[in-house]
Amino acid sequence: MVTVRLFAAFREAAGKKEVNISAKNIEELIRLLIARYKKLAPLLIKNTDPLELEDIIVLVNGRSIWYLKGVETKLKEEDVVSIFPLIGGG
Amino acid sequence: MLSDKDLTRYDRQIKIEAFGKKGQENLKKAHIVIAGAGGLGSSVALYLTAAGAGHITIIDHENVELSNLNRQILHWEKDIGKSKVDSAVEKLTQLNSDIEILGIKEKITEGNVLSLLKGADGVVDCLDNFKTRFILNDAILKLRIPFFHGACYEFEGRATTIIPGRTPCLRCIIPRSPPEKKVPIMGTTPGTIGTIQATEVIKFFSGIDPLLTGKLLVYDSRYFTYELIRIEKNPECPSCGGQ
Repeated sequence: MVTVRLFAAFREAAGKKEVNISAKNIEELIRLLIARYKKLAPLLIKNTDPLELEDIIVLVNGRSIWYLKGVETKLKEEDVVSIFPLIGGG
Repeated sequence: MLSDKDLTRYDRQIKIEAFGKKGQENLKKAHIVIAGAGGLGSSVALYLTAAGAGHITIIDHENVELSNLNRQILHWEKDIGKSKVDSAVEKLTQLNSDIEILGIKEKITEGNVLSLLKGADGVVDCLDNFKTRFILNDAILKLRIPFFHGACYEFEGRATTIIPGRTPCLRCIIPRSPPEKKVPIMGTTPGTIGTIQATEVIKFFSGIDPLLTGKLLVYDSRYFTYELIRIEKNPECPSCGGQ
């Protein structure tokens, strides 16, 4: 199972800070997450088909998916995926 | 070299064994650039000035507005319409007249960034947009100086310390700029995050570990949580190439 760590507003929407999900890639993981926690959908995605993510940060073991394969980034059982909003105010 | 006045003024922090006179001397020698004189910049500048950072340059191109006052504690009602750097320098020199404080009213661009950072030993990111953050990120990588990142939204904050060659850079974790917009911010959030950034600056220049290097601090004051996320260099990063 992949460990998904949710932060900030995403944690509030899911009512959980950590979730375990079996998924082969980020797209599957996000789809399973929003099916399980409906309030997460508008926060995480812009489009369902094709899947387009909001301006959020998704790290797989500390590395941004945008430098891996985006939503097609493959996942392994022991991976830790951290998902949090991108914020920039000062 | 510390003066008798320095020894009295900074006595309570010099008493900290890990910091001591050596830490104070190193902080006194440091030239720190604070990019942005807003919510984060107010908190960072006040604490670095009080702590005795020897040379501070604060850069901002905006004027003070009424809607800034919920969080930008360096600026007061009487300053509305005045340049933020003038307002900041006025207060900071009253807090500590023994250090050098310079205000520069300029917008940071790709064209002027290297000259604005000339002689800097470190840069504190107190900005409100990623476009300028990325300009600074690329500049600190060229200059090989540390970059103390902070950002806020509502009750949430982030902070990390970037050291070229040692840690991921800002673009390793945030590859692209989100659309620019005025974001909601509870005034205390930049107060907390700015204090953390100032602490990182003090620790870096006085050689106190551990720092927020290779770690992103995610702070949420609504639910009272501070968490650290491990972050890694990205070999595909267009700014540092994972170096």
